[in-house]
Amino acid sequence: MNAVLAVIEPGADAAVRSVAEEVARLLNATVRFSPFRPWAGVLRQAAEPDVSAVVIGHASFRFSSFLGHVGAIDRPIVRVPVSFRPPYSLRRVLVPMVGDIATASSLARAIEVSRASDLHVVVLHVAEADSIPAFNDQTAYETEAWAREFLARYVTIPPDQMDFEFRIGDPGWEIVRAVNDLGPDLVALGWGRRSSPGRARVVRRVLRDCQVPVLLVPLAAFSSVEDQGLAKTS
Amino acid sequence: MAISAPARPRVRPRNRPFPPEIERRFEALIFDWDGTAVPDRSADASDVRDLIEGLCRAGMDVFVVSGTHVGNVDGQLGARPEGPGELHLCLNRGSEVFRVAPRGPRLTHRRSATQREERALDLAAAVTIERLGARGLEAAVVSQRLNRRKIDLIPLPEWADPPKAIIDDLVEAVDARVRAAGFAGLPEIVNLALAAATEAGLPEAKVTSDAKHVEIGLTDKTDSARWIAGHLATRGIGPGLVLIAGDEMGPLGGLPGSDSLMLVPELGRSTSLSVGVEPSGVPRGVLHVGGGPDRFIQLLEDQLRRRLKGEPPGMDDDPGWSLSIVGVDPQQERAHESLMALADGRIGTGGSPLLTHAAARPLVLTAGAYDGPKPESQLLAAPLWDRLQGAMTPRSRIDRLLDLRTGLLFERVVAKGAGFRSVRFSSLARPGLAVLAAQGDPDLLEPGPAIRLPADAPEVRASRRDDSSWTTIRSEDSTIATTAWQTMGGDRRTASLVRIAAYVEGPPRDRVLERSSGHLRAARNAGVERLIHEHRAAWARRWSEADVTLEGDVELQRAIRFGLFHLMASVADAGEAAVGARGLSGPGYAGHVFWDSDVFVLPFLAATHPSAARAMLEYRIRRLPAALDVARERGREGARFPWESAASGRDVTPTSARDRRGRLVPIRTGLLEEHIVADVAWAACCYADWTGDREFLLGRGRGLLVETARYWASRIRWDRSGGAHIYGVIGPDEYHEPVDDNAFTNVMARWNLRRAAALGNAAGVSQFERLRWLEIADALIDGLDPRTKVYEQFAEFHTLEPLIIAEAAPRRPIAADLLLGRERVHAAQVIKQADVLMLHHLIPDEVAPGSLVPNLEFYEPRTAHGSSLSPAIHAALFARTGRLEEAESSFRMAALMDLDDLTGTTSSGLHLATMGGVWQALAFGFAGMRPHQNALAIDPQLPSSWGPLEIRVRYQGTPLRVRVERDRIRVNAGGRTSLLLGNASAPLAVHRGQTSFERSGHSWKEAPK
Repeated sequence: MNAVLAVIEPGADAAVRSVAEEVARLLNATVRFSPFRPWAGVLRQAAEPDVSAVVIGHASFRFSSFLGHVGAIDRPIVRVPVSFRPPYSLRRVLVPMVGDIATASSLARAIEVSRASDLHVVVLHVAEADSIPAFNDQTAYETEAWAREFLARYVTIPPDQMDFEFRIGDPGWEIVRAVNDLGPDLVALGWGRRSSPGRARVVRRVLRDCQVPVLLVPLAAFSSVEDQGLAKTS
Repeated sequence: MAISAPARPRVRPRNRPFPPEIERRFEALIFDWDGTAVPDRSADASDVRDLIEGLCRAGMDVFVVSGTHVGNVDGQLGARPEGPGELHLCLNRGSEVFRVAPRGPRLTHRRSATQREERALDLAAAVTIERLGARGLEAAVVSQRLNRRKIDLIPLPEWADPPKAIIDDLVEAVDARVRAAGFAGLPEIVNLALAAATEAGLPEAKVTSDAKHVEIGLTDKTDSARWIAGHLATRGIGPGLVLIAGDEMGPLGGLPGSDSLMLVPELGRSTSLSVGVEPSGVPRGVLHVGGGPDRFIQLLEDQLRRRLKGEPPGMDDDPGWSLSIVGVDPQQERAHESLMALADGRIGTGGSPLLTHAAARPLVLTAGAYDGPKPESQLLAAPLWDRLQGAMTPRSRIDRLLDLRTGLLFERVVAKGAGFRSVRFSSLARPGLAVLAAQGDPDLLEPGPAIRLPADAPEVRASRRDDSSWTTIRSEDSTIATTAWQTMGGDRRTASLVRIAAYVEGPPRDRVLERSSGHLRAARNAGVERLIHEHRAAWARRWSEADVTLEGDVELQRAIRFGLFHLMASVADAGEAAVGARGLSGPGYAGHVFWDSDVFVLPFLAATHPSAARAMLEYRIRRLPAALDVARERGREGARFPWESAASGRDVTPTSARDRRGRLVPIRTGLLEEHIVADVAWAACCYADWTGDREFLLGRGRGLLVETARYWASRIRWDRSGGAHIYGVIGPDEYHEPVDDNAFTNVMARWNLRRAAALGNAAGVSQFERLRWLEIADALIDGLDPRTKVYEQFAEFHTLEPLIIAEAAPRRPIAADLLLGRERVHAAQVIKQADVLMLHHLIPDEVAPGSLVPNLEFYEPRTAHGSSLSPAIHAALFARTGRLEEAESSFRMAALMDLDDLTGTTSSGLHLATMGGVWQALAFGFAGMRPHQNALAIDPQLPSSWGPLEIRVRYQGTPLRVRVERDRIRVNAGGRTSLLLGNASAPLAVHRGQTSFERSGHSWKEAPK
């Protein structure tokens, strides 16, 4: 049986336990606990072949170093915000994506698992100003046609089994706004596991400003754009 | 493929294989007779006859090319083919063509020499013999055949009738003889004969030599080949599907081989071979097979064997005429299926892979069949006729090719070491009929049910009758009946499949199932090969009416033809044609009919295939009663056509929708976008102006002009100073709503009133009412500033935020409503697409003279081009004003709208209106063509990077091929017609044939012949 690794640390113990148990329930996995220190021990346990996800708070990290630390983990990571309080019940997942194949294939698995667990999936597409569509003929038809095609291209679940949201603006801010508007229990983001300056801007914004657990799904292939946490529609 | 062959010729087991280039099915065979098909004229040709008759019966077109006369060739061949393939004898060295049918040969073409030419031929031959004799070379005229004189260079008994097998010896003997007379060789003698012909007054004489003879003639085999190329074009058979065989392709005695004359540029993509000895080799590109007539017979047998085993037709991958997609890209697949859609005006079928694939979206749509009289009505999904059993695997390989010339969709699949090839089409000759033929490994080619029901079909009945299966799908408005039949053939190693499905749509109580069965029965009786021939020929006729060629840009050329193909495929040319915004290529826009149909699609058809334009107007005419009712219910008079129309003719525009920001927004176009009323009237006049069918406007089409005028007359409101206003509308720029006195709406209404009034007494409208229309027209506020000549798009437009989107946006085109938000664009001078400028495009005579340039300069920078309709119209307007780089750039974008999926919504269907706009940009914009003053105006403005542009139209019944260059116009007219060139004030008449004109300053003058 697979395991969800819950990283227990002072100040985040109950919250991490609560989220890890819910994630494990969905994945039909057990919860395995690991002390926060030494960090090398966490990395070693996270690399165990049966570990399918890692749940971690970051009460003990400075925010700026969190991504640097978890970037060494090649499994999906659920980061529990400092302010989060149990109990935790996972019913609604927000999946922001812009539609790159790498992002889509990474998140598709998360979406499939979510759907298999009867979670309500909301796919959020955020367009920046330079990726706003060139044409929008008749809103009554274009929105639906465009959304259906977007989902058909980048999500494997039939469009009628999920909700679709479209926002225009800075991706990080728009995701935070959507979280506030829609109230999901989890945000699933693809990320390239790189945290050097200029990278993972969207991930940083979402981790900093969203008060719900965030699932970081490692991307199979990296690019500078993908490292922002989202990728461009090709 | 199933061949209904009562008597098949015996096909022997295959001998050694042919070169790979020939290991495929060809659709036409051209061959030399003597030496290629038979060793000599006394040989038994019964094998050739049987094979040719079999090939014609199996659908191949066969052309025999020979220098001799019909008595010789037909006497020896004696074939009497029944078809569907045709047999032609192209004889007398290019001067005659006979079509051979069961009753024998019938002359279909002859080049007849004039008396002057006959005398010149005699003189040329006499002078040639005299000059040869003067050098000691005895020669003699051995025959005076049609259009030529044959001179024997070696009139010796031992060389009286040399067999082809000793051609080497013959060449050697003749060469020795001519060299003995002091000539350098045969070429010098040919040049001598040419010079004699020129001196005799035949500068274009054809002089050939088969070593023994030199012939001076008016024609040669090149004329045969050119005639064949032209004939094949009418059959829809491109050069890539043609096999040319001869035995003298290579040089002979220093002269080009006589059969190489068949290799004309018009057949340039054909495959050619020689079965001859070819002592000097064959020209580059010709395959030397050798083996003489025996090998040629094996070639015929191979071609017949392929057809009898069900090999699908050959595929012509001409880049200017085809669209190819390799593999299945899950991201792009649905868009690709739209691009590869097949349609015949009645049904449309997406170009999905035949095997199931997760990314595919198989779809069949039936024109005008909606799922009910409700605002959310949409086209009914019809049963699927093109599905095979089994699914693609990740390792499957597939490629699809759509032949735009013929509307055939080819597909090749290889999976698990097995494979199949297929062809399918939606018959343009028999609209509603769909055909699939496939051949391949039995393990992979499993047919499954002939028809499958679509998901979520409403009331369905399905069963089998005899060896066919049938279904009916019913909604409140219509019933779709589908009857299908399929058969499998082949053996353990190779299976073949033929499937035919017949669709008929009609009102619920119509006997559609019986009609569908009848169509299927007739199609089965015809056989697949005949269906293919009919279909190809139907497409060839359409292209002959409508093709547009743009030399020097392969990408644009293909994009243009791609658009024309789908325009032609999407519109029926009989009955009524409900042309939805996406045609029959996808479910987008629910199949609803917008102004796209009347203003963007119809002009192309009015100018090329009027019966299709007429069918589109018939759709509006049959919904006139609904439009009259709606006007009355709104307290108006006349007819108020709906912004979105489906079956009933009442408005089916949704009233709200979620925008891309997820907000529910009201949709008010159904209530307010009333210019559709005048657009319908404009379409009726467009048809009448192009066709000259003025009776239409006084007869069945009268209501489209008169009742729309009545609507406007009742729609206006007077102000105290006598101005007439139209309040509360939406113009083509849909970013601003509602607005008062939209210039487009008002000027179109004014035009509508004036045009209807111009019908006079004959329209049955009182003089009082007509005068009132004219009074209203004169009083309508149009927003024109007489000083600047700029029309204010609507009242108070100039008070909005003067935001120049060309400067504010990161790029254009851009959906400015998404970039800035609805509220911001509503408050700013940002417009979606041509609005005022649409007047200059549609009714240039109704706007102020000289107002195009200032309005283009004012509005274009304020236009986001956020509508897919915008680039093509602006291309036309840029061209008219000489801004040719911008014209070309806008044009390219419009032409590639779907091919490059620039909207991201090609998956839901093709942008038919954009395609219509592309044609308009070419015809109205770059060529400057439009009906004007009872003549066809032509005023070309071509980008410097463009080669000649040739457009085919039919103006008032006369077919025209108009070829324009920057400083030259060439018109090929099928009859007498009137032209208005450049800024000329008076039309000039041109007659049947070709007339050329050259630019002279700002005007044009006829060029010397």
